[in-house]
Amino acid sequence: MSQLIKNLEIDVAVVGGGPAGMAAAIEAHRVGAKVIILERDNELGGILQQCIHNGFGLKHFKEELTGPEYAQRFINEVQESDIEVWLKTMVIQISPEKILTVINPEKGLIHIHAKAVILAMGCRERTRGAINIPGTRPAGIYPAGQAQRFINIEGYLPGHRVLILGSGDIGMIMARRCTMEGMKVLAVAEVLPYPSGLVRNRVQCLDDYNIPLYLRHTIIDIRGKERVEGVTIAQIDEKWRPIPGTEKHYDCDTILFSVGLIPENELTSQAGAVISGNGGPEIDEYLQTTIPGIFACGNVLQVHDLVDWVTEEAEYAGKNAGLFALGQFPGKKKLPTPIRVVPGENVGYVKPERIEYYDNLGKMKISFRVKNPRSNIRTILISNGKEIYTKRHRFVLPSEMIHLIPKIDINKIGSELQINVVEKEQTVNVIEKQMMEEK
Amino acid sequence: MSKQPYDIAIIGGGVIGAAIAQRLAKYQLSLVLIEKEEDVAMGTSKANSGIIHQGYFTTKGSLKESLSLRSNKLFDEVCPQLDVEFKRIGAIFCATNEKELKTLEGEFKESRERNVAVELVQDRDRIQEIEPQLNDQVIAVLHFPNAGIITPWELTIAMVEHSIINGLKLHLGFEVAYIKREKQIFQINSVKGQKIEAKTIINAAGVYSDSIAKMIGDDSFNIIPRRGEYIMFDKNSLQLNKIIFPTPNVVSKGIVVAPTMHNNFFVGPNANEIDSKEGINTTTQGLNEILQGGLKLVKKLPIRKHITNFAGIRASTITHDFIIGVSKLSQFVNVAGIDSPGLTSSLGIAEYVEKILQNDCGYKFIEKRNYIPTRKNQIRYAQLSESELAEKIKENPQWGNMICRCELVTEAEIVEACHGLIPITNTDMIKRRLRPGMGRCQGGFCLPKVMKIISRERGVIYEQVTKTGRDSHIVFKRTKNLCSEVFQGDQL
Repeated sequence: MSQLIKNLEIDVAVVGGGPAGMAAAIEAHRVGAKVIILERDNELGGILQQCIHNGFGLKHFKEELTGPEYAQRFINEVQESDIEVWLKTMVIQISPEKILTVINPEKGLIHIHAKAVILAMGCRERTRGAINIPGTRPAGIYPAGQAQRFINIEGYLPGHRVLILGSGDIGMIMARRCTMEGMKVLAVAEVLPYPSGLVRNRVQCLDDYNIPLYLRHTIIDIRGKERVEGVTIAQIDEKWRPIPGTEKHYDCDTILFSVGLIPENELTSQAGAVISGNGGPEIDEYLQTTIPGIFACGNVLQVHDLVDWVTEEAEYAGKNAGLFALGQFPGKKKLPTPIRVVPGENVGYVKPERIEYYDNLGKMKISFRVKNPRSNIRTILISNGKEIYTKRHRFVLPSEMIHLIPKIDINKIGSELQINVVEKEQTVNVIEKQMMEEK
Repeated sequence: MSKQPYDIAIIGGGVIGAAIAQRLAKYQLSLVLIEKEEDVAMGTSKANSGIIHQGYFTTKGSLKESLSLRSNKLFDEVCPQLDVEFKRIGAIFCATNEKELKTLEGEFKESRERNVAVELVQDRDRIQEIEPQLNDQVIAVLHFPNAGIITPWELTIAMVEHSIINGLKLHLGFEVAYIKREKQIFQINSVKGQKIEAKTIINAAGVYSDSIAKMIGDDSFNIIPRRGEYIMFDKNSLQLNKIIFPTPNVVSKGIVVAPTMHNNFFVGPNANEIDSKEGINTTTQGLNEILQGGLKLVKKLPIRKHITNFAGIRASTITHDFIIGVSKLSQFVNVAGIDSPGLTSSLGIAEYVEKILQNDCGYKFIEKRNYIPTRKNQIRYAQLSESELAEKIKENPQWGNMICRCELVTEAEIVEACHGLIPITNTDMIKRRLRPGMGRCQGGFCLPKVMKIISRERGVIYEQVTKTGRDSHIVFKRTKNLCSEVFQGDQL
């Protein structure tokens, strides 16, 4: 082995210095662990630094902050502690033995031997190619978050006349941001029959600026050789096919895509951890992946609607990872076989996917998102064909995460726990269906 | 522009022009390559299947047959010389019914007559062994083990760079407006008013080769643009052993499912005649067509794993064969109608053009005394061991700054590429050389960083760094002029 490769031993290595990584690091440090944050950018804060709009912190701090303000509170806390922070540091590999290979321009190539690892790498934006939008490929087509970076961080105007596909939160916020910078936002098109971001963003970012929102519409053509020259959108039918005669043409030089976020888990799968259906690692009730001592939190685990929930989740992961590193992991009594937590009726995914220990039952938080918006419904937890927990909701939206801390009796749970979101009359059917499947 | 006319001017910096340049750069003559775009490999050469075929399904006695067969062999010699990656992974043609099997049996016989390695497989287990991803409907495959894959723009760039090392003059951004001939000298004029003189012209202008020929009064052929659309999938989303074809029809070899040199895989192309030579747009129908086509060959496609779609244009003609030879005007050589297997044939075409220059244009080629036979690619992050990387970072900290997290490209590599033999003026040039922006995030994170490096290294202001040159601006102006100093020299 080359003399140039250095080694470092640490209790907890946190991969990513965004809101998740910082909150996790602070909690791991609080329980007494020696912690290092590895951040690839040249500052802490992650994507919050480019989110200069307000609306952050209402739950966590009970006040309304901008993204950079929210981040700064954690940056200050990190800096006041003796948590080590390496910026411009790229983790290129994580081994199942929790050895991280990292590179840094000044420090070189280092092997970090950690007792516990917290994954907090965040997510990336789904691209135009990922949803197979046709047309040419000129300059002027950006993921909404990239346009946000150009305007808010780099300080450059990415275009003049804009069409936005996707009514995700970033898309709607960028509609307002572009308008404020003097760009003309022609329309926002959305394939779903409802906006895919938060209601408050629709009101504050589109309605307040008279920006039209076309639901059940998609882009069917992009024109322009060097720079975007135009775009055509059309309404789609129930099979997602464009309906002839509904085309709308726009002359524009910019198209933004806000069509979803994808947890960024290349390192995670390389390490050998199981990735679940939502694109994030599979976890237990302590936010531990399938590799003991490797924890995950924030958008790398599941894409959150509010950063406040990221903080809450990350604090829990940080605490558990810190205790794990110190040999005081709170999960003491393992169940003979883990209980699988699975999505049922109208549920997209559930975190955690498995329950491993007796210790935490009754305090465990379950997070999930619904597939379709519904009102006057109930969340029902079913196991062994029996309803074991139920909760009412006035309405549920796919854009909003749902968190539950169900009181459950271990004696009533079988090997599987199914989460369902159903209308009242559906309840019996759902249980019957599950029993049929079990047979 | 030079006072002395060049001996030979090649019009068109695609794979054909590049291969001819690379072949001729060996000899004592003055050579210029003229390209209308700001980089080479900007037309058909950057949007095709990247397959080196093995002479299959070509017409007996055609140039396509003889040149592709000859050329296929030359890749073993030329690729190591140019430091270009090339893998003979083999291709299979699939039959799903008796009629298709008959076609494959016919081609099997013809291929045997061509003396190429070929195998007709009907045993189900053996078929699955050759390619486990194949659909169960496949009843027979015709296997060509010597077909291969290559990155077409990488080959083109390498050949042009190798030619530059050996004295080629490269003129980028030179769009030919008209050509005059006086006293046996051609005068090639650009739309911007530049002028290049040459004794001989080789017309390798791809889809525009008919327009170039018409400039000297040769209207013997017309190029029919035939578009092919593709969908590219993420790395390692489907492990393929082979290039998978259906049984071809008369129009084309059909929609392929094939891996790339970088462990991605693609589905495409379809084949549609279009009106415009610039019609490189994909369409809703086209993308559906190729997905359906792909699903006829493999069990399943990882639908949510596609990362981009694109289209390329074949320079087809009604003769369905290459048009290579001296035009009605002496010293003007057409190399036109180069559709599939054009990439495959490129090296063979260059060799053939060399013979035409000797036999029909009076050239006697003498090798340069100082000819440099090889060209080295720049060192890449992915090739380095951990200790080598540690050494590199110590020598140059830019090796420790990861710019592209999907394809793993460091600042040091981008800086080196910026100062390569072909001057970098836009972000797509970096993308084709090093791949930032070709990965799953499609430049979502690295684009502003790549722009900053180009701006710094090439001394152009940030808003002048374009995507593909000319008017392909990425950003326009500062939003916060008051704070401009803060942004100046901003860290990466």
